[in-house]
Amino acid sequence: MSDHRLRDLLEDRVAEIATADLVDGAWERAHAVRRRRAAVTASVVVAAVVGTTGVVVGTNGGHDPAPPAGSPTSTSTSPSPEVHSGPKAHRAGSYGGADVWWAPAPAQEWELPPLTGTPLPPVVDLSPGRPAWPGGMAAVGIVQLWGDDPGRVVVIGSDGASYTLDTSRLDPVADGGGNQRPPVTQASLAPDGLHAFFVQERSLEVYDVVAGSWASIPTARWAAEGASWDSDGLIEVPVLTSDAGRKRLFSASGEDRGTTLDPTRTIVLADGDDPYGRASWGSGGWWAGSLYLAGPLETDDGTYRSIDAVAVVDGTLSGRPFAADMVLAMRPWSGDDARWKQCCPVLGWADNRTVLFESRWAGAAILAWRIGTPYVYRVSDIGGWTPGEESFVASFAVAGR
Amino acid sequence: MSTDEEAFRRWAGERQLALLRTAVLLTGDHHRAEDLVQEALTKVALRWRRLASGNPDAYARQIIVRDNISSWRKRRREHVVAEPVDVGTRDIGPGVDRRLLLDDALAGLTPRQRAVIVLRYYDDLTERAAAEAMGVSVGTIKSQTSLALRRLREAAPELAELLREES
Repeated sequence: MSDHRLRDLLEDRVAEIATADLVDGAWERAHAVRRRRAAVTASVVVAAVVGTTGVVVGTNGGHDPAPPAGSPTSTSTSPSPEVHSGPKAHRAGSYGGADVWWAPAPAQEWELPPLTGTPLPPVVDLSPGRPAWPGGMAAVGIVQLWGDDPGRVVVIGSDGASYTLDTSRLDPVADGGGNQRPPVTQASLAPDGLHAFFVQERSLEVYDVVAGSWASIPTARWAAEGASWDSDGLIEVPVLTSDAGRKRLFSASGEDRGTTLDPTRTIVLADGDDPYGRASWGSGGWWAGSLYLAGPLETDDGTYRSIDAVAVVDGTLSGRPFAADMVLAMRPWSGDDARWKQCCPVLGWADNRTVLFESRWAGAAILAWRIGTPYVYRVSDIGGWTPGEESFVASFAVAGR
Repeated sequence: MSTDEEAFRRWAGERQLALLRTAVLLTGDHHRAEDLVQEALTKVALRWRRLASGNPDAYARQIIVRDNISSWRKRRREHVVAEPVDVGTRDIGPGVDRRLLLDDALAGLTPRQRAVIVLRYYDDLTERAAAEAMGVSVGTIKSQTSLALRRLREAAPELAELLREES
């Protein structure tokens, strides 16, 4: 049998490995960890007594898997499915090798349980007349309203409040197709929330969120609209003549840091799928991205095509086909309950198993999906804008950006 | 020596070689494998009282598999390439070591895919047990197994006959 032959190959591969005595070292290290934990626990108790902000020290080191079923105890992760009450996603078949769930209906979003513990506030207020951005703190979000013309820019501070940012130094900008577009993009805010860039036709204007100062980075015409932040806090600006995804690197203050090869990634599960936004790499080793599923998506209640969705796939190397794993699909609804086209850009990750995404319809919210489960949470309500007259572009400082 | 320490040492002494072999197959690197096993044994030792009456083997395997995947994720950004390396095809003549072909082919898998292969075909775990070890769904194990076998066949056509999925 073929699996026996593969087993033989694997066994043959390691047959000559002799034992190494790792037991003494393991027991001694465990003993040392116990002593250290005892000391740390004592320190935390003292801090609590004097009223200092405490830190909970987990006894399992924070990241180890729970003991297997049958063990007397288990650890939990946040958010915990056990505390989920309210509407849930439910299985809707498979697509491109991925397990597909239908997301709760837009009208049910109000009933979703809240997810706390992210940097995002429960309410993102985009209404006009917010106070001017004071600086002196990081931002967790930056949003530009967009009606007939790009409108006000709202900064959500690390205090959870909304402020208006003066962007009068920016010129109106058009993309390569001549379409007017907002200077804010989904990638504008740095993952640490300390800087934000604004797209201009031939430059990036970078705002120091804390200091309130600006820097200008000249770019090739229309190159700035593809800019993004990398994990080292550098700005990547695509080299438009490079098919391989070469990008120029700049510091936030505009210093040239050379080039890198980092193709912008999107997720496609089957021929004809249409991705939008950027895929987000999470600490759990997954990529998440938004796309239209071309279909057909076969479900128990019919066949669907052109479905908005959030897809989460295994983190395979660039250039190789993705191994599709799971999809949260947005079932079509009609009337006021219909989600908008490109309703659901992925924002990033709340933790290694929980992806954050926007949901836009007559209302707007930031939702979270515990990937591969029915559990969907409500993170933030986005209010203070006029659906039907306005839209908005938002960028948030969350993990995975 | 306490009873706990004695019991832990007895269990670990019996299991460490098997765990090390699993770790070598997961990583392809003997030193890295030893580090993973030592870390796993340490974590088992820390929880020995709770695990002794349960399934310390499964817990140790979970630690090894997940720590390996986790550390790969941290290093991953440094190793991303634009296109996969085309290993081409080679003759598997008498002078070619099949183990080298297997090493090359395994090296082309992601750690999750590699883990699926090792857990299912070396450790002989059921799909459900492999899913628990990796912290994923059974469906993911199924799809990853199929994908991993396909990639192994593509990377090492000489081994294709050995890597065919059972119908």
